[in-house]
Amino acid sequence: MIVGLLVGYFIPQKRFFSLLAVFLGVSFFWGLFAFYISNANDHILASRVAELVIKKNYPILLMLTTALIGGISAGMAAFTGRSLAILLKKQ
Amino acid sequence: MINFSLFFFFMKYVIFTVSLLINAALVYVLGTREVLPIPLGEFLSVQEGIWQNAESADHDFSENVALKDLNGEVNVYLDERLVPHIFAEDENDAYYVQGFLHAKFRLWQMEFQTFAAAGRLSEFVGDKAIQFDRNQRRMGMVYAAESALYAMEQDDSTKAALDAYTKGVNAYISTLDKADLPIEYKLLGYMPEKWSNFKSALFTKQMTYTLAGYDKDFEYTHALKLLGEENFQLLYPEIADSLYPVIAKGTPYTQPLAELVPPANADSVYFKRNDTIHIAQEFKPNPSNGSNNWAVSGSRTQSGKPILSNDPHLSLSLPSIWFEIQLHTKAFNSYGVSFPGLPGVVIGFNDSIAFGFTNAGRDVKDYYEIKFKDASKSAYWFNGEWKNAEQRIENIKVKGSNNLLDTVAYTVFGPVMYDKSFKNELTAEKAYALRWVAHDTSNILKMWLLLNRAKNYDDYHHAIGYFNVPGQNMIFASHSGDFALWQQAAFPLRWKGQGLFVMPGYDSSYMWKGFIPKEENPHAVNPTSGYVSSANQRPADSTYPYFIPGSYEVYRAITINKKLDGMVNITADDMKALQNNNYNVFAELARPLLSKYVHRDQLNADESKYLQIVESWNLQNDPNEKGVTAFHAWWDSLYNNIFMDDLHQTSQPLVRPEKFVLLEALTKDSAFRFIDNRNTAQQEDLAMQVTSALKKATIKLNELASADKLEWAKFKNTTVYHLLKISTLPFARAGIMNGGGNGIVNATQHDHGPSWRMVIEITQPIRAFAVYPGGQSGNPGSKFYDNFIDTWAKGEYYTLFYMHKEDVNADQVKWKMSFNPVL
Repeated sequence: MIVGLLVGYFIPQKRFFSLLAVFLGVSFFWGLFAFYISNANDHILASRVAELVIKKNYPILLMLTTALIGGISAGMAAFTGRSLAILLKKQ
Repeated sequence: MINFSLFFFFMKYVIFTVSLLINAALVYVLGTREVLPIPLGEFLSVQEGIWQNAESADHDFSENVALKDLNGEVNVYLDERLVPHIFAEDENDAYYVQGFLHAKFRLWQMEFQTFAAAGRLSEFVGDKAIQFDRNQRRMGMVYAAESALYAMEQDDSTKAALDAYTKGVNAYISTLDKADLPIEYKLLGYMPEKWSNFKSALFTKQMTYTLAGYDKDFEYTHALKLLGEENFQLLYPEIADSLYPVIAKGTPYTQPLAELVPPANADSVYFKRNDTIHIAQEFKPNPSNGSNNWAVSGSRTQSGKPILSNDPHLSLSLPSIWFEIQLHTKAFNSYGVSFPGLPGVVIGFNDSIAFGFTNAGRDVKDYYEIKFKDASKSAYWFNGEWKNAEQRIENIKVKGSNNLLDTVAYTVFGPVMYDKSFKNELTAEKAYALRWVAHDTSNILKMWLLLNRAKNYDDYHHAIGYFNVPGQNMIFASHSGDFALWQQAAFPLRWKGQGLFVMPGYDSSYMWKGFIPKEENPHAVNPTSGYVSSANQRPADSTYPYFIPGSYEVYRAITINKKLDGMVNITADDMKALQNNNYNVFAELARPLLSKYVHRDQLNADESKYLQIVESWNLQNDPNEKGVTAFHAWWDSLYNNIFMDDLHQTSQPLVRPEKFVLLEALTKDSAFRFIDNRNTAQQEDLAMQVTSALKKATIKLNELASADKLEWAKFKNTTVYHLLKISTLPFARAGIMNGGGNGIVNATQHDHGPSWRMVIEITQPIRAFAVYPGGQSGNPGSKFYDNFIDTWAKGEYYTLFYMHKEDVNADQVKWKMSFNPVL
């Protein structure tokens, strides 16, 4: 989230683009990382936790949820960071 | 223009504020437990959340660890089942590393069990655990652990072992960062605290509660009032006719020096009290907690050396109650299962001997009625005067709420568990104090530390002398050929009938008269039968000169002893088969009764079908048998037909008479006085009740059949729950297709059963076989979490790798952990 905020603040671009870029970037990173870990684990943990949290034994759903949550959190932070940068920009 | 720029500035401000608010909302929803039960953001974080608990299938457990205060180098060889074989010169170093490894693999469980023992669950689950926590505190669990700690720390060697163990646990805890926390901490949202010797003491008390915490005093008091003395004796007899005692019938016993007699007023104030006690106890340990063990003499085995077998029956749980381990030091080389929370091996063997336990089931817990002077609970009536009661204030922390202070008065008997502040139904004047052997000081850990190094019968006999509670049948066999069983603990000395019911607390003559001398506890050493065995049955027949109430099993012992009687040239495989024996001896005795009395001409097609299924059943509780399901449905209906009209006359809680009571009563007397249903005008006879029971059972059996649950394993649905039970059902293993049952040697019930099966042939080298329904790792994200369950369910065993120094390069060694002192 903090990284999102900083990226948003320091990299000049449109607010929505900032949100989208960080959302896609972080989602991709979290999703891929979760998949990488889970694959090495033969999806033992993801199956159990998926059933616990989303009541379905689909590890892939847990990875997508992870990606989505990571992306939204960081993306919104980037949007806020950009908004702050725009707000503070000299008139 | 000016207006436009103002408008844009205003819009920028609004957009920023709104986005900031959305961010704050996201933090609130995903980062706290206020909206969702778990903070999903943190929980699913790839850096710190649950993904970090997904252990790679080819994880390398080898590592070098530097530890403060270690006396020398310690090497741990982990085998392919993740069993650590600890090699240390110094035994305290071995306990140090045992603590480290327990924490590494089972930390959450260790804490959870001791939090439960101490009545501290509300700290992380909130107010729903308050009643449980108060119950634990008021039972004196913390007080009991304090007295255990005192005794353990008085003894230098026990203290040294505990200190080393605690250091090991804490050394591991100090390495943890957020990402490494066991998943349960991430789910429940709390952090582990430091371990201490006191927590190990708490663990011993949790175990004591599990095995010697069952009581029936209030229920028996209600039953006596409802039924009267004669009927009470009929429904709750002291000894089963079919008892096959631990110590063979006919064994002579030393008579006590003096006969114990009840107080003069016992008849009027104790045996025939008129008032009603309004107590419903909310928490009880499972009365099925028990075990089997037996040891056969070398004269009866193929190898010529003794074989010792043991399988403790406990709640089946993940992580398992047991952790397999080997401790190799200069002084001893022990192998077996340990309790995460205690140093040493608890059930196992070394180079010279093997040892195991079953629960004695003796009653060591009584209640005394207390009359307080006033609501302050500071004085109570005792021996004709007001006696001061100590006040202990229990401070219960509650998550999301204020602390709860609970004042517990302590009397000469022990804590006043039930008073008006805890049980609304009680009046200000009536309260009940608990006298429980678990409160007395004793150093039970010393027994285990000595057994680990015992070399012969004398060492074993010396070691078990330190054990006071929970009473156990302690079985032993040695390479030199001795085999023995002692039922050992501090058992109260009682006059006949003492402690069955709630006792008056104002009169010291109702207090226990001390303890039965330990040398007079039931025992057998090298008996001519060529074996010793126990299965939670009454330890001795009626010639044993002491009054020994308890909760005793009847039927497993019959199967075990009959089988052992007939065996020659015994091998380890024979012993494994006996542990997995599914024969239903209760049904063997009960089925003829059902067949004899059922009115066959009054049955419809379905009822006849189930009768036929029961009668053609092979009496094995095998997984695919339908006969066992049908038999139990029928018998249970008969039991309800005969007893429930009588027992439901009161709203006070009662205990159900044991199943042997009905079977033996009906076998002896087809006109047993409880047969008639008191709620109907007609007079029912046994045949009518047996037939009606089959008709009722048929309704249930048809429902089961339509749900495809008639086969025993499907009906029983053996399940190994995670310790958090149904709230973490995906962490459990359900639907295990195995046989067994209550009263069966293979004592596997729905969620209870053999928690460790062990067969040790004390040859040279030792041949050891064992399995438990779990796995070495407590992490649900590890392949070692539940990997033994399928082997266990099939009744198979692992050959244990009893490692010696020369085996360091053996194929079984997969990883090596090296522990070195910090320089």
